[in-house]
Order: sequence, then structure tokens, then C-alpha cells
Amino acid sequence: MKLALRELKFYKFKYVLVTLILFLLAFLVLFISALAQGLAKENVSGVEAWSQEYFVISEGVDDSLTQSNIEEQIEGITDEGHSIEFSADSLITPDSTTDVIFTNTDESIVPQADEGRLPENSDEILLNYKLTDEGYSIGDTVELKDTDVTFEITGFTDDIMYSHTSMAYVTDDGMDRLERTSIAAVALSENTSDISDDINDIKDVKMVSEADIKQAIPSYQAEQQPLNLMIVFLFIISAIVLSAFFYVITIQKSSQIGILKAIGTKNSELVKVILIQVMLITLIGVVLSVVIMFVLNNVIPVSMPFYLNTSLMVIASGLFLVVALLGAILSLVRIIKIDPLDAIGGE
Amino acid sequence: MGLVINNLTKSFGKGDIETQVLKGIDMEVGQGELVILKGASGSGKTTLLSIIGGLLSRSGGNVSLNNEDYLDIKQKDLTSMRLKGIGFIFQSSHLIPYMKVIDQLAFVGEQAGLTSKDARQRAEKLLKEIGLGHRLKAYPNVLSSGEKQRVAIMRAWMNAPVMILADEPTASLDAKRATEVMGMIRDNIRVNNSVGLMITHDERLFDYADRIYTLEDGHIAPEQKNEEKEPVYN
Repeated sequence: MKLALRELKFYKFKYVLVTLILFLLAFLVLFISALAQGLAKENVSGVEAWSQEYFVISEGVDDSLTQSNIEEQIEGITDEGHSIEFSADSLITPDSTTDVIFTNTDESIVPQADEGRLPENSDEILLNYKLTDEGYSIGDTVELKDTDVTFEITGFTDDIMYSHTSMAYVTDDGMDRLERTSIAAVALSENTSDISDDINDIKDVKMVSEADIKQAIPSYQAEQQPLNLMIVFLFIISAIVLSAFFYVITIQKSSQIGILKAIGTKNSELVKVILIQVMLITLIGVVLSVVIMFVLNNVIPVSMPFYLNTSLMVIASGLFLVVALLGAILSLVRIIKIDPLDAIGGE
Repeated sequence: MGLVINNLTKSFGKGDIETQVLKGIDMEVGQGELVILKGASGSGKTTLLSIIGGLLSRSGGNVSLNNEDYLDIKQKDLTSMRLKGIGFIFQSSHLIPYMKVIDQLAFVGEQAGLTSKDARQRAEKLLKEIGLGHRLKAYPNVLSSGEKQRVAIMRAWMNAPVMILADEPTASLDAKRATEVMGMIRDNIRVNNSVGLMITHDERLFDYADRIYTLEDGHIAPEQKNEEKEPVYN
């Protein structure tokens, strides 16, 4: 332990540099994963907010809720679950307009209001929290584009979005005031063979899982895949940077290690030195990046897709330590191979 | 007693390319004795020293220290033997750049199982003995080469070794420093009753040796009595 710390202390500049690189890599990994999480929420949080396992939707619409309309078949299904109405409209904002998806506050599958309360009358509305960025607050009146329909805002809820569009909850009567409404789906909390038999008998509808609905959102996969690929590459880059750095340092001090071995320092002691150094540098870099992430989380604007998933951050940080240790293997092999005889300079 | 070597051989390579470097070495170094090993470069001096120090395996023969065949043990135990029983002094001091002078010694002591406090006490005592008491907290990069080599010598003595092996310890020093260091090594060997074996080319240092072996073509040449003569300088 002493040996490792003394070396770090003596060659401060060298090791601060590599800590800095590691901090930047760890920060990038955490930032991109927060971005991926934020984008995911913008796509699927509205669906997740319902907490329903299955959805009955139209056949042949690529599992898209905005295209599905089961108005004609609803009679046979509606008893089984909660009917979800959709209406894509635009709200007039102080600056221009913003797209929202109206849906109905049907019984128990409505999310709680994080701020204010749920709508109770036909002229009341609950909006996605992100729309506070447009200047809305509780008690304001919002007007639909190209109509004279208005609603009064009674509350906001975080994370109700579908395919990058904010959702707005109104009462069933409120839905009736809108044009172009459709019954997009019937949500079911469980699937029994009775229900699926019934539904199979109905023409042009099918039952899909919540995961199917989420995967069918075109932007969802398109965004998640490249971001996850970037994260994987960043982990690989971190491993390579660390192994290159420590390998070069190990080669530089080969004769020194030979001397230490010649005067009786055990291999295990020398291996410990490298491991302690790698762990310490990685730990400092990762902790620093986690701190910066939490600071950033408080200052980043609400409109930005950014979401800190604590358990995911713990996993990423742990993975960083594993990757760093993998990177150290090359140096460890080198250290064990160094012959104390080299120190003496044989003839 | 002391170091006894019988018919020691060492070959490198196999078959047609086999070269025998040591062709049956017989020698003895008693306790409290400093023996110099000289010979042309390539004669196998360092190979011999490496074998005695347990850094290199031998091809044949016997090596014993105080009647113990200390080389015929496991690699791990040999490392520990090097730590506690053998003191190495190299051509250059080979101090660890990121350790203060006192820690260079204390580290070796701690490795051998001394507590941090005991190790530092002993290190301080040894360093004061050789007049480096004012340099305890210095890093090697501010020491002169003479000072560095003195630290390295005391590092070799840190664990009170049974045997001291030195490979041209004065090669990097000027004449005045060389005699100083040499005297120090000899005195320490006598005081501690250690076995001392040193490789050197420097004829001016031969006076300090009790005996001189010359390695020639893989054999020890007939022993030279160290004749009484005026020191070249003093």
C-alpha cells in the first residue's frame, strides 16, 4: 500500500493526467447513458405510466398507438380493461405551437399528478411537466390550434410522453370536445386464456404486450442502439487507455522492479502495487464524474432529455472498475515476467 | 562455515550451442571475510555471483552457506532468503526514485517483517552511522552519486544479512569515494561477521580484500596471496 501511494504522490503530474482522462471517459459514459435514459423516457414513459401488461389494438398498424383505432370493435372488448383514447393535436404556446397527444383519464390507470391535481371537469387538463418550459403554469388557459377549444391547467406530471410527444390528460367529457379522437387501445393488466380467446374472435384486432408497444415506436430503437454502442465503445477505449498507460509505465520501471525483486520483494507485493494504483485512479475518476453528473442534473433545463438512473449509474461505475482491472492484466503479466537478473546486468 | 562452493558448473543453451560458462568452481569465503572476485569481462563473474545470490539456477555442484544448501529451496522461499539473508549491492545504487532515503531502508525492513517503527529506527541508526543523518528526508534525485551508493550499501545491511554480494559497487564513484565506500563495506563485514564477496576490476581496491580469486575461462585461477604493499593512495 505504502509503495503504491508513495509512487502516486511522487509522480503526481503523470497520474493526475491519467486520472483526468479516466474521469472524462467515465463522465462521457454516464452522460451518454443519462441521455439514452432521457430519450427513452421521452419515447415510452407515457406507456409505462399506465402500468398495464397488455394492449388490444388494431391489426396492421405496426403496433403504433397513434395509428390504431378500435372504435368499431370496442363493444366486445371494453368490459375487459380500460379503453385508451388518443387525439393528436397542437396547443398554442406563447411563441408558436407544440404537439401534444390528448388521452383520457380512465379510471385507475391514470398517473398521479406530481404538481396540482388531475382534471375533474371537461374543461380541465393535466400536462406533461416538460411543457412548463413553454411558460405554462397551473391555472393558465391553453388553446388548441385552429379551434376555439380551451382548457384550464390543473396540474403537471413528470414523464408522460409517447414518441417524443408530450401527453395531456383530460376527462372523458373533455375528449368529446376534441375532433379526431380515436379509441387507440384497451389496456389489460393481465392476460388469461378466456380473454385472448374472446379477442381472437374479434376481427382486425390483436393483443400485444407493453414491450411490443414500446419497441414499435420508431425513434425508440433508433436512438437507443447508437447510444448504447457508444457506451460499449467507451468502455473498451477506457480499458485500452488504462492498459497502454500502465504498460508503458511498467516497462519504464522494469529495472527498478528487477531491483525490488533482487532485494527480496515478492511478486504478490508488486502486483498489489499496480492493482491499488489502478483501482485508486479509477475510483477517483469515477467518483468525480458521478459528482459532476449530480450537479449537472440540477442545472440542466427540463426540456433536455436527461435522466439519472441511480441503479444504472452504480452498474456503470462498477463496470468501470472491472474494465480498469482488465486493463491492468497486461502490466501484471509483464511484472511477473521481469527477471531480477536484469537488474544486475548479466554478462 | 561461511560460503562453500564445490565443483559449481553452469551452462547456457542445449546440444550443439551449449556453452559452459562455469566449469567447476571451488571456492570458500569465511565469516567476517571480504573476498574479491576479478577476471576479464565475459569470464563468468556476474553469472557466478547471480547463482550464489539465488537469481540464477546452476547446472551442477554444491553451494552452501553455514552448512545449509540454501539454494535448493522453493522459488518463493528463495525470494525471502534474498530479503533476509543476502544483501545485494549493485553497480549503480538503484534506489527507488519515489522513496525518501530513510524509506529506502525502512521498506526493506518492513518487507522482512519489522514493524514500521522498528524499521525506521534501524534505518535511521544505520544512516547516521555513515554520516547521512542529515539526508533522511531527501529523495534520491538530490543526492550525490557517493551518497546514493552509501544509501544502497546500508540498504543491503538493513536486515543484517549473513552474506553480502557486491557487483562492482564502486564503478560509478571517483577514487576518493571508492575507497571510502570500500572501507565501509569491509568494516561492516568485519563488525557483523558476514560473508562478503565482491566483483571488482579496480586494482586500487584489492588492498581491502582478505583474499582475491581470479576467474579465468570458467575456472578459478590459483589463489593469489594479497601481498603487503603500500596502498596506491590514502
